[in-house]
This record gives sequence, C-alpha cells and structure tokens, in this order.
Amino acid sequence: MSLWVDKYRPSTLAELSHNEHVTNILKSLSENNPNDLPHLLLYGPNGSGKKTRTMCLLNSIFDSSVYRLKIDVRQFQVNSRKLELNVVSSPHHVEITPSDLGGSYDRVVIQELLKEIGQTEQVEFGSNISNTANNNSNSNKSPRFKVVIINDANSLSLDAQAALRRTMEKYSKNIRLFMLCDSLSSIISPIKSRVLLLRIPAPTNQEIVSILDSICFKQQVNIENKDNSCLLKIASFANGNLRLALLTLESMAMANNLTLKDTTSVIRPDWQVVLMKMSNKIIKERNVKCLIECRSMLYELLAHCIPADVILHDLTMFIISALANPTIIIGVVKNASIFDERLALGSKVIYHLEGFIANVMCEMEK
Amino acid sequence: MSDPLSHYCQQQNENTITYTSSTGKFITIKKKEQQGISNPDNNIISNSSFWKNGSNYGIDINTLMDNINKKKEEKQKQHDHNRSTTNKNSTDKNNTNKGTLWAEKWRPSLFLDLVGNEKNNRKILKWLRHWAPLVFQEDLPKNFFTNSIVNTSNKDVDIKEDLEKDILQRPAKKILLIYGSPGIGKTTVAHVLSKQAGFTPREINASDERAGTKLKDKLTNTLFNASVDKNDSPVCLICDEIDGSIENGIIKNLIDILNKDIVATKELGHSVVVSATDNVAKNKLKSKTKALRSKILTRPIIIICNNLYSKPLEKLRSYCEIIHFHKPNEKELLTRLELICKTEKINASKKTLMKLIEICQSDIRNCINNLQFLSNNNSTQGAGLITLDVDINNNEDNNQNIEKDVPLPWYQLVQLIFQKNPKIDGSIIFLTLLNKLELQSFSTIDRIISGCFNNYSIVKYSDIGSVNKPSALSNWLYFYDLLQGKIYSTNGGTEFEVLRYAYVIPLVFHELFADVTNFRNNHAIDFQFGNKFSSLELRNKISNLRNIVDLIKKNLTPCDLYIYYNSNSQIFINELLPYVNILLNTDYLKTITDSNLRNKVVSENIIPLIHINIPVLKFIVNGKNEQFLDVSPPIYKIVEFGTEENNYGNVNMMLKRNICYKYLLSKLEEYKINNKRKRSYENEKNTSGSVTNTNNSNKKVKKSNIVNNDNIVNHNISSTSPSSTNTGSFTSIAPTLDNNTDKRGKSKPTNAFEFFKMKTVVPLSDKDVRNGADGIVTIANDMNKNKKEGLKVEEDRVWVKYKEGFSNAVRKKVTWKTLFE
Repeated sequence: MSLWVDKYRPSTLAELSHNEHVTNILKSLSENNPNDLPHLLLYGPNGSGKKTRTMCLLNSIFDSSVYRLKIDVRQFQVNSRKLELNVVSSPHHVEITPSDLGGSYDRVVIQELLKEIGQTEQVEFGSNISNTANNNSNSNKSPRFKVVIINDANSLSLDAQAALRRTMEKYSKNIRLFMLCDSLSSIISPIKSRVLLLRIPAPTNQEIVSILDSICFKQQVNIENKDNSCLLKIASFANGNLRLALLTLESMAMANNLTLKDTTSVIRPDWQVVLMKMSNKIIKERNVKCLIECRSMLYELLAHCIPADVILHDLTMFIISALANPTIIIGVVKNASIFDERLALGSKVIYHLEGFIANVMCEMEK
Repeated sequence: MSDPLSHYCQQQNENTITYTSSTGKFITIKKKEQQGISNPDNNIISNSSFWKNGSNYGIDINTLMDNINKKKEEKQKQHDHNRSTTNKNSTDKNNTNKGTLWAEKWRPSLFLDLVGNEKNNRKILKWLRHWAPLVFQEDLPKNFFTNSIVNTSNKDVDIKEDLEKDILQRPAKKILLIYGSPGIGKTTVAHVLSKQAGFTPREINASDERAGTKLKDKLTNTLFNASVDKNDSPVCLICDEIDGSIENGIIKNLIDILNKDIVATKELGHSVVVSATDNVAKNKLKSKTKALRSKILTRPIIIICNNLYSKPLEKLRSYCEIIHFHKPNEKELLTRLELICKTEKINASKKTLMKLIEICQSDIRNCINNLQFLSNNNSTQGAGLITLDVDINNNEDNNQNIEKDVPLPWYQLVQLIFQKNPKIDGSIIFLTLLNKLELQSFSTIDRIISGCFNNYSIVKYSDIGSVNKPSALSNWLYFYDLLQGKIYSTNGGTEFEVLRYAYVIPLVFHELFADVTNFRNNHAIDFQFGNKFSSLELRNKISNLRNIVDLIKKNLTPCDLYIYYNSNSQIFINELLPYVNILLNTDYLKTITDSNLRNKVVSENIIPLIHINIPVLKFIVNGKNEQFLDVSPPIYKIVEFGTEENNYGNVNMMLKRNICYKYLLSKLEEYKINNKRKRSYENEKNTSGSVTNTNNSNKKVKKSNIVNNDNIVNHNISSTSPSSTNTGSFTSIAPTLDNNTDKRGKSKPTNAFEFFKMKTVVPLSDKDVRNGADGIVTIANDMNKNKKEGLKVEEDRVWVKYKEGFSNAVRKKVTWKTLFE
C-alpha cells in the first residue's frame, strides 16, 4: 500500500468510520444467515466509500480471500465484433465494469457472463481451502452463491438493465448482485424493486476532518494550528469526496515538509487550475478574443480526457463563486443547464462549451 | 502527326498497301508513284520515301488524306446540292436536327475526327492491332515492336515493353482500361478505334443488366462464340461505365475469364513449341481440345470508367493496360467546335467558343450540348443565322445556367461565406451561396462548418468584439449537432432528408459574420484550415491518452488498488493521477531538511509508488549525457497542461528534480537490494524442484543502463516495457563508467557472462529484471561491496522468480546453470 488513501482504507466492517447507520445495516446483513443476503444497490456520490463498503461486506460474509484477486480479460463476440472486458475475480466474487465497453454492448456481457456464473453452482470452498476452514466453522454456513459486483451501474444501457431483470430472479440461488452507482436516476424501476437500495451519503466535512486528523497523526504530519482550519479547507475543497480529500492531504503534506499550516494552499489538479484561470478570464474580459483563447483551453482540456460535462460543471461553479450579483448567477446557472442538456443530446462538445461561455459573457454584459 | 494511321495499315509488298477502313473492310491500295503527285494537298509531306522505308507499318498517309478529302468534298457537294435544290428541305433538316442531340450527331466516326489525346489514341490502336495475329491471322509488321519512327517518344518505348508477346501473340495485358473525366470522348474513341482495327464493337454499359447468369452468358457469347456470318468482323467487347456498377458482377466475371485464360494459356504454352511460327501455333491451337480453346480469350476487351480508383475496380486493375484520357487541348476543341458551328450555321466568334469551352471545363460533350441548346433558343426567335455571342456574353455575370455543376473546394467556400460583395444584392449572394452549398456532400458541409467555426474570429465583421453573435451562433450549432445526430443515428438512416437543413448553418455564418472588408482584402486574411482543432485530431489525442491510462490500469499489480479505481477511468484521470503525479515530482524532497524524515518519506511514500507499478521510473539520457528521472508510463502527459510541445515532456521540471533524483535512486537501490535479499531467503526456504522457465531467449528485456556520475551508487536499472512479449533475448549494455575489470567478477560462472554478453563486469551493480505483469525474473547478482549497504558477499547464485499471472503459484529455485542449459 502506498498512497494514504489505500493505506488507511478500511478492510473490515468494524473499521468503517463514517455513516454509522449504513455500516450497521451492512453488519446486520452479514451477521444473519448470509444466504438471506438480498441483491444490493449502493448509490451515493463519488468518493463516499461505496466500493470500500462493498469489499468490507464481502470480507465479512466470506473471508479475506475476497482480496485475493486476479484480472482476466474476457472476450465476447457480438456481430463479428470482438469485445474485451476486464473481469476482476476472487474465489467468491466477480467484478465487472460494463460501461468500459461503451454503447449497447453491455447487454451481451450481462447476458453471457451472468448466465454463465448463475448456471454454475458454487462448490464448498471450505473443504478445499484449508485456511478458510477455521472461518467457516465460525460462521454458520458458507454462502452458496457468488457475488457479482457491477460498477458504474448507472451507465448500464436500458437493454442491459432489461436483461438483468429476469437473470436476477432466475439465478438468485447462485448469484447475488451488488450494483454500485452514483445516481439512481438511470436505473429502471423493475431493477430498483428487486434490490435493497442503500444510499451511501458523502461524509460531512466534520467527518472528513476527523478522518484526516487521525491519518495525520499516524503519518506524523504536523498540524500547526490546532483548530484544523487547514484540514477544513481540504474538506471543503473535496466537497464530500473522501478519496479526493486524502489524496490532497497526502500531496499537500509531502509538498510542505510534512507540516500543514493555515496558509498552506490546497493543491488542485492541473485541469482544475486551468478551469479556474478560464473562469477568471471570462469574468474579466468579455469579448471574442477571450472567447477564442477559452476555446483553445477547452480543446486542451478535452484532449486531456476531461469530460465535457465535468468541464461545464466545474466552470459554472468557479464562475458562480466569483460572482456577487444574484440575477447574473441565476442567468449563469440557467445557461449551464441549457448547455448541459445540449451536451447530453449532441456530440460536438466544443460548440456547446463555447456557446455556454459566449452566453455567460452575454449574461454578464447585460 | 500522321503516325497513327500506319498502325492499322500494312505493307504487303513494295507496290500495294492494305489498310483497314473504319468499317473494318480491307482495302488494298496501289502505291503512288513518287513523282506523280496529282493532288496538291499531298505537298504537305514531300518526302514520301519516308513511307516507302516501311518505318511506319507501311501506309501512305497521303493516300488516306486524299480519300478523306475526296469524300468530304463529295459530301459537301451533295450537301450544297441538297440545300440549293430544295429550300423546303432545309427547314425539314432543321427539324431533324432538333430530333437528335448534336452530341450524338457530331460524335466522331472517323479516326481523324477524334479530338485530343493523340498519343493515347495511338496507344489504343496499337494495343488493338496487337490482337491481329490471333484474330485476323495476320502477321504484325516487323517493326511493330522495334519502333523506328523518327520521333520515337519515350512513351512508345514503354508501349513496346508493355506489349510483350505471349504464346498467341496477344498483348501481355488482355484488358484495356480507359479512364478520364466525363465527356472527353472515351466511349467514342473505343468505338472508333475498334472499328478501325477491324473489330465490331459490342458494348455493355450501365443500362444493361450486369448481374447474374444472364451477364455471364452474354459475356461468353460475345467473347468466345464465333459469329455465324462470315462477313462479320470479330467482336471487340467494350464495357462502358464500369465503375457505375455497384454489384460488381461484371468485374467478377471478367476476372474469372481472365484467370481461366491464364491457366489455359499456360497449358497451351507447355504443349506448343515455343519457337513455333504463327502458322504452326495456329495449327496446334486447332488441334487442341475444344474445352481448352473455349477458355482462351481471343477477343480484345476495353473497359471504360471515370474513376480508376473506385472500389469495385480494385481487383481488376492489375489485369489492365491502363490509359488515362486527358481533357483535350482547348485549341483542338476550338477547331472542332468551329467546324460544328460552320456546318450548323451558327455564327459564333472564337472568343465565345473559348468561353463556352471554359465554362464546360473542356467537356466536349457538354460544349456541344450547350451549343445546341443555345442555338435552339435563338432559332425560335426566328433568326436564320444564329448569333451566339450575345447569348453567352449576357450570361457572363450570372452564368449559373450553363455553368457546370462542380462543387467548390470547401476552403474556398469558407472564404466565400465570410465575404460580402458590395456590388451585388445580399439576397443574390445568399442564393448563390446556397446553390454552391447544395452541391456539397454532407461530410464537406461538416468540414465547412468547422472551418467557419475556426475562422470566424479571424475575419472582420460588424459589432466585432462583442459576444452577442457567437452566442447567437451557439443555438444554430446546437441545431446542427442535433441534425448530425439524426443523420448518423444507428436506427437506420431514415432521417437522411434532414440533411438539407444542414445547408442553413453555413448561411448563418454568412449572415452573422460576412462583411465587405473580407471581400476586399480576402488575401490579407490568414484563414486557418489546418487540423489543429479538428475533431479528428482531438479524438486522436484522447485515444492516445486513453491508451496510456489503460496501460497504467493494466499494470496495477496489487489488485486491491485496481478494484478501487477500475470502476470508472474518469476517477483515475481526474482524481488519482494528478496527485500521483505530484507525489512523483520528488521536487519537494529537498525541502525536507531532516534526513531521517526524508528517508522515511522516500521509503514509505515514493518507493512504494514506484514499486506498485503505477509508474515505473525510467531514466532518460539526453545528448549531453545528462540524466533525468522520467516516469513511464508518462502520467504527466495526462494530467499536466501546456507540456505538449515539448517532446520530453517536462524537461525543465526534470532538471529541477535532478537534485533529488540521485538521492532517490540510492534509496531505490537500497530498497531493491533489501527486497532481493528477502526474496532470496524465501527462495532458499522454498525447495521446490525444477525450472519452468527453460528458454532464456524467451525473455525479452529492454535495458537501459545509466551510470551515476557521482560514483555513489552504481546502478543498472532495467525495466521491461509492459508490451514486450516473452520473445527475444537478453541484451545488456555494459555500464560505461566501469573501467576496472574486477577480479572478483571474473570468478563468476562463465555461463553467466556468456549469457549477458558483457565485456566487463560491474562490481557494484545489481541487475533487476522485471518483466511486466507476465512474469518476474529477478537476477540478483553480485551486489556486495555497496558502501551504504555493507552487505556481505553472497555467492554467485541467481534466483529466478517466475511469476505467472498474479498468483505466486510457481516459485522455484533456479541457478544459473539450470537456467542456461
């Protein structure tokens, strides 16, 4: 383990730090007969610990062998097109990210892979693996199913979700689905009714600060001011994303001789710095020249794999934070929503991003 | 100029000459007496002994010219006679003229009527004549191949080489392919020349059915079945408009025929004595089985198309003798048009005709059509002699009526869009633009729009500087984006008709940004049509970076790292990698003054980062022998901005980093050595048997050896590129600094040296060869005497850890001996 975010990642349910009530639900799920475990759908914002919790849950249902993973590349044949998908698997679970395939090909993966797993009954692992025998004797019975984790479930196509519906019921003896997603909006209701919905809220700033503080203590990072204003700064920057907060903390601590002062500036990723510069530019000079400069910045951002909707979102946030007049803010937000829709419907993102900037400039001219 | 005629003429003996007329008849003509020049026209060529020498396949051009002139005169006389005798008839004739297109009426039927492409015409004729021995059982003139024409051009030599004999004395390439732009007389030439060469042209064009068995029957009928009527001349197959056939049935059939022919000819070639004269060959041919003969191609095939590189033609191309037809010379066209005008009683000045030619872009068919159209227009007004000049000159300003519809290049259109001609009414410009845009294909429209988008900031327009217009534009661009989505939508292309609305968007650009100043100093504007900002370029860049990300993800060896970050590569790009990059910029190390703390940071934070294989540290040596610490895969390319121009990424940053990198390196070495020791102990404990990794040459290891100038740490870091497969062999570069061959080194097993093929031994080096994710071979060797480590000298033992996949399933003890056996 290298990065602090991984080094201090909880691996058992007991170690989970924030959102106690969710942890309690998970605990009760694992303590009862694990064969009663329902399908799960965990949803919550980025960096709130969905995956961590899932792995902790798996750890408590099975044993630590869920962390012994291997990566296979599975090939699927769709209409003479070969698709490759990385499948991470342990003795007890399989993890897929169908959105990697893109398009509507995820349906094929769901159909083929899940059926394949669902049709094979799990053998007793306890008899084969000696070191797990002890664990099994503790728990009442080793569950007879395999868990399939579906990452990024909100990007599943409708076809794939429809394909899931029946599979979830039919093979429920051998298979359990843990779906992880950011928002429920694109999950169809038949799926929702078949799973236990668990919302994982983002940790509050206070929770983040306390986590950061404990890690600082473990890593012997000096915090000069005891009111933790620096940590608070990181927390508010991370905006509930614990992963981001920890990464920021580590790089800040490293860059500042392992001491954090109040004045220490938050380290942002380069792309955010570029966006900040752009927002300042937009507010200061509202003309075509600036628009063209913004365009080349946009191109560079896009070329660095920053998705257009993220650009739009963060740019809007930066602009709003720098503005005072509420009517202009409303105008900016209105434009942002219009162009967000256009981004979603269209494909030429550069037109819409530039259009957004032009419209915002117009808004401020008024 | 007169050479072409001689191609189809043959000198039988000194006094008589046979030539083939346009209708395929053979005419024998007595040679004229040298002095007896009866016709004054013959004075053009005074040296008739030139012809006698037979340098020209033996035809007297003079005789031909005479005949033609006589015929012309006769015709003219008859014509005049008709005109003069019956005035009423003349009006009738006008009516009949209207019935047929002039383009048909004036289609050349004689070789001399052909306009332009003289050289090509000759080539074709020669190719056709090449079939004569087989088809007409004639002997080719002796000088057919040894071309001794006085002004032998290079092209003729080429022809000679091309037209190599085969056993049946056919041309090497059995199909002649003529291509060129429309309306320059390809079909006509094929017809005229095949007639001239004594064949009956049989045409298959786009109007015929060109698929299925019907076609096959037709082809075999024309090509292989002899005509019943003895008087009929042999057939020459002309496949017209071949690139228009979408179902490439005809091409497939032709290729079939050719392939069969090649096989059959070969068989024939084996049985026929090579040195056989033509007659013998013919006799032998007769004695061949019918089946064999029916497969041999005995008739010439001419293919005509506009686009040589159209897809269906791809396979056929290699079988063909290819001739490119050029647009005829304007002067030649002019003479032809003048002749037409003269006979059709049109009063047209040279200038007008030139204008016509220019408008039609040397398309002669189009010229004649336009001529007819214009003359008809005028004749209805009752003029006896038609005056064209006024007509065309009137059309000068808005000659879209007859202007050939050729799409403008897209960049020209982009420039046009931003222009406003003050002399012309805005709505007319608008219409003209629309007309021009509608000629464009959708992909060009897309290019035009992106061209406009990239350039609107450069041009001048009213209200410049304000963002109102760009913001208005954004709505239209959204509209366009939606249109495009509809057109490319996967659910069938049913909504293709919305394409017509796409033409509006360039007009919006015109409406918003066009200005008079752009019209006046169009050349001053530096339009950018480069692909710097094209969507394609963008896509390439993105996919490049995605590949890097995939590479990194693939190499995440600890799987638990993988599971937390594989869910969405966006998290990887947006959150994780920027910070990893910052952490790897070990610049901050020097700010840590406490050395203990620094050690701790390096060993706890940085080395694990390197070790977990997210990045692999790599050294770049530039020309000045300076070393930089580089990160591979190049994370900085993904997360850092403004570094693209620099090839080495952030050399400056690396220079800064240079200060700490030696320190980091020493730590890295230390870490590795410790690791190896640990591993070797483990291996000792592990007493399992034989080696799975037998063939050392299976390991391809890319090495980069760098020697530290400071002599503090002498390291030899090797890393495999993740993509390298297990093939190849070890290559090793001996560290340069090491100049004293150590005695202790020589005490090593000799196999090891052979294996590494090293001339010198590195006393302080240890070799760590890591082979990506596939397997890890670690060779810990001779790692003693390190000042910092103070380790004891270990035995010259090599520990090979072979790791397959991610499980440590196979871990076996290997010594040099077993490894290199």
